[in-house]
Amino acid sequence: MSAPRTSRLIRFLVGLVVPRSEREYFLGDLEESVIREQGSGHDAERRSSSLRELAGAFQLLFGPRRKVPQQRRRNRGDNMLQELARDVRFGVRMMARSPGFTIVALITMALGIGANTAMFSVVNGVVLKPLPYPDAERIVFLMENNLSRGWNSFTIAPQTFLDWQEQNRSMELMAAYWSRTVTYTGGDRPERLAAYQVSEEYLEILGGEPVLGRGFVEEDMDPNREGVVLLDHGFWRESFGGDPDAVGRSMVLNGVPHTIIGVLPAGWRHPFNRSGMELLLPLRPQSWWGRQNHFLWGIARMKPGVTVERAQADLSAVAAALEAEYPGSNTGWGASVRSLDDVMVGEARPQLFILLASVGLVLLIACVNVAQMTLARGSDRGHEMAVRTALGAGRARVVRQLLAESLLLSLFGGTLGVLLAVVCLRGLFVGWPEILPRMQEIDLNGTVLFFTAGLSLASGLLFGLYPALSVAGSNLGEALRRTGWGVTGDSTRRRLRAGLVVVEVGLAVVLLVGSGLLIRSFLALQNEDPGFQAGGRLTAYTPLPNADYPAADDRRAYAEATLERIATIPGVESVAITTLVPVSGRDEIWGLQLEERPPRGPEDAISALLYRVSPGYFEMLGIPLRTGREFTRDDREGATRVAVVSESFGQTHFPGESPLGKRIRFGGEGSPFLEIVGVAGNVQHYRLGQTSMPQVYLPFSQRPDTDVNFVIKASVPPLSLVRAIRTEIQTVDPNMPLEGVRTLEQIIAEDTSNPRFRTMLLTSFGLTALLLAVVGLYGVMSYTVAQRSREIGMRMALGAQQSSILRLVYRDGVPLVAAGVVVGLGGALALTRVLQAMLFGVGVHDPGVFAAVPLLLVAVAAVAMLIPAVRATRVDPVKTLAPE
Amino acid sequence: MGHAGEFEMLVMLAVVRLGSGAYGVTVREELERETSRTLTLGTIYKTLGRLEAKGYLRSRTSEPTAERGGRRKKLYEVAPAGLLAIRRSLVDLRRLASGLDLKLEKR
Repeated sequence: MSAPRTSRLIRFLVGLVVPRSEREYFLGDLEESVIREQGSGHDAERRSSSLRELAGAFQLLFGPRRKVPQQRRRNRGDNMLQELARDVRFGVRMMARSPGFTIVALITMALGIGANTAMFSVVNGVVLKPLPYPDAERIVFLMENNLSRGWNSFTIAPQTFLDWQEQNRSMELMAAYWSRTVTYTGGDRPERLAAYQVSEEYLEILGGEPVLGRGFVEEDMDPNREGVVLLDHGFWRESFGGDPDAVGRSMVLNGVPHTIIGVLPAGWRHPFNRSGMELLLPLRPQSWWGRQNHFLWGIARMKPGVTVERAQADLSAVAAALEAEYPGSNTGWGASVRSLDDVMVGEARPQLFILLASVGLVLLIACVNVAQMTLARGSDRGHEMAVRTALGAGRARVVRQLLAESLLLSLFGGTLGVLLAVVCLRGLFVGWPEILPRMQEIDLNGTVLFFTAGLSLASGLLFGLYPALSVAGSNLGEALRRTGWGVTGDSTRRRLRAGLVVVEVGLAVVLLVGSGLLIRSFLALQNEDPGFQAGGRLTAYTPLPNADYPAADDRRAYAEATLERIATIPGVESVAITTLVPVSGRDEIWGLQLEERPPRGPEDAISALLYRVSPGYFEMLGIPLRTGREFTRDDREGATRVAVVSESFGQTHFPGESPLGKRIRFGGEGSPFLEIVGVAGNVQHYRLGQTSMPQVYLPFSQRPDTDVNFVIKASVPPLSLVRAIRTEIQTVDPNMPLEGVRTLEQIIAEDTSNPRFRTMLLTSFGLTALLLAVVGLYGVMSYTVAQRSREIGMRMALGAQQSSILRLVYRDGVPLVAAGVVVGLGGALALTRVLQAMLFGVGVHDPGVFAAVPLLLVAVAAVAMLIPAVRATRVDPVKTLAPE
Repeated sequence: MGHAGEFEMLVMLAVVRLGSGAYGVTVREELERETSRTLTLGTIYKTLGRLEAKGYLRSRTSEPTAERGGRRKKLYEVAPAGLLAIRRSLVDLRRLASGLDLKLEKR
């Protein structure tokens, strides 16, 4: 067993109670004695025994203060700290005396504070913490755009990038990169590795100073030199066992040896890389680089003092100059500059703040609830307080006593809440794919604990101050006189408590309407027809390395051989190849021309998503053919070139007529025309609920490509076939790894994971709010019934029916719920607008949701009131009317 | 001149017995073994701190050890004033208890 460490929790708690000067010794003694006691025991045992020790340590803070002879005070009552300690000790005794109240209040506060702590950890990690790059506020993300074609951001053509680099005046450094996968042979079996090809300045901008070896230098960018590679820290640890001698060794990538020149620092990541990256390769200029093949991304560091707006203006000017200089290629193409912060978390920020605000409302309800309970108890303790005052306690003294009790509650509740938050955050990391940017940076750190401590104090004041003032301020004589024959208690306080119930119910309605809208939107998304059938279908990706498959014939041969072999696997019903898998996140967009309408200028350019598929693709994926035919084996190289288009393509470009027989072509003059032979149903390519651009399908064998995806329909659980599929593919090409193996259902589930996440979160907040509001209502009604038991007893003695007693109770409660619902609906009407961007297929004022939530609330409230009402009918007149 | 309470006496005696190895953990072990009480570190710390403030104990800081996660110890020894207080208490105790053996027997 390695040297055990004291857990962070223990260290935190020790920090609370042990003075700084003693902390080191105390922690050391704690650890040592726990080891002596437990030996190499279990973590949990160690922790519990540490906690037992800590309970003792609390005496350091709360026990009688050290009495040092020369400091002894004449009047002990003057010592603030002593009084505080006494208030606290008394508070603990009071809490122990009414365990029911204490437990409910603690759970309420723990729920409220815990949920807020967890949510704030997320917001802090994703949005508030500075980005982990040097001078991050000066880093910008560059892309091209072509607004006339509706493309707000597009990858950059390499020559254009080089011109930007040379002609701009706002950037200190500018780098280009693109991501690709490479095949690594030399390990146990061929492996696909995620790599970024980056230009020389890339690492300097992003602060990735290698921990071993060196970064890229100018010579590394020379295409004629031997290949070099930098390793990601995690990959180096996994595949090279963290061996420092790995630097200088050689790795075979895509069949070519590369020298390892360095290892990147641990924890360093490319800003938008969610799935991880293993290698960095130099981006070496190629002879085919031009102004029309767009594939690069740009990242840059602005000169000090330059704003994003100025950088944008500068690059736009450069782009305009390029348009004038190269009208054939650059017309319509502009530059887009966005801050790194905006690109990384710009989209997540509003969502997270909405969730944080919602969970804040839950805490507000929790506070109102505890205030309710404190008030109810305050009425009971009014007598106690009056006696204290009569015996000479100042009003301030009494308020302080009551406040100390509230603060104690909120601080204990906060501590429990932190534990709850730890559990919630763990659930976030286990149960979800990477749904937020910077998810690995989320943790429960000092900032969060500081926030939680502040929140706990604020909540304690919020729910404690008013009850304390109201109890302490009540009229002394009246309080002493009021020994129980009063009928319904103090009327101002009753009004206040009624008001609090209205607030609680109102807040719960707002949250429930919000979650109702998200649920409806999510259901709409679930019912959205993607345009294909996902069930029982598997996809796997085998990108062909250019080095091994240089010619169209090689790619065609690979496709034919693998399709034939996979089709023979038992359990495979059918198999097809496609260059693009819908919803998987990749796309390929080509410009094209219609034969009957040749473009007169760049403004006539049209484009479409281009898929290349093998025969049987449409039938296998269940994509309906509206008219014409799908591809067959006869659509081979040398035969008439054909295409299938989507319905939306037909409607956009051939409105009112059939596309069949029309001819289109990709690439400009000189490219062959293709005849449209079929029209297929629309497919949602990007994500569910987002209309995608029109689609064009070509037979794979007439235009083979290196992006080979297999789609397989299985009659057995699809994932059970993976091994057999890999074997068959590697029989065709032993160096071909299988990647991206997922079922189409998984792909769709991942696509909807973000809406699922926020729906679940907001719904759980809504339900917590409902629960708290109902507990609050129940508490108020029970209390009213208890207060009125004499009155009820008297009525019963005078012959009142049970039903009229029930009515009596409901007459008290129903107006409160009704008022709360009205207030809440009003609030919801005003507030749900902020959800607009998250909703799909449902309006922000959806009548269904706005009708269902009040019904739900009324139903639940009716049950909550039933219990005290029934209790009221069981009141025994003899007991309540007997003299004291 | 101040004086020491009963538990303070016990703690000081434990410190004397432990010689140069007296710190929180060992003091507690010594007391638990010899007086069959159950004590928490918090209690020990509080008492050691008070005795130091009274000038009965002095402390110094040890080298860090791996066993305690590289943390240092606070080692205590009895100061002359402490020795004096122990001596006086013991003398008082013996004087008051002398000749009471019979009366202190369990009836």
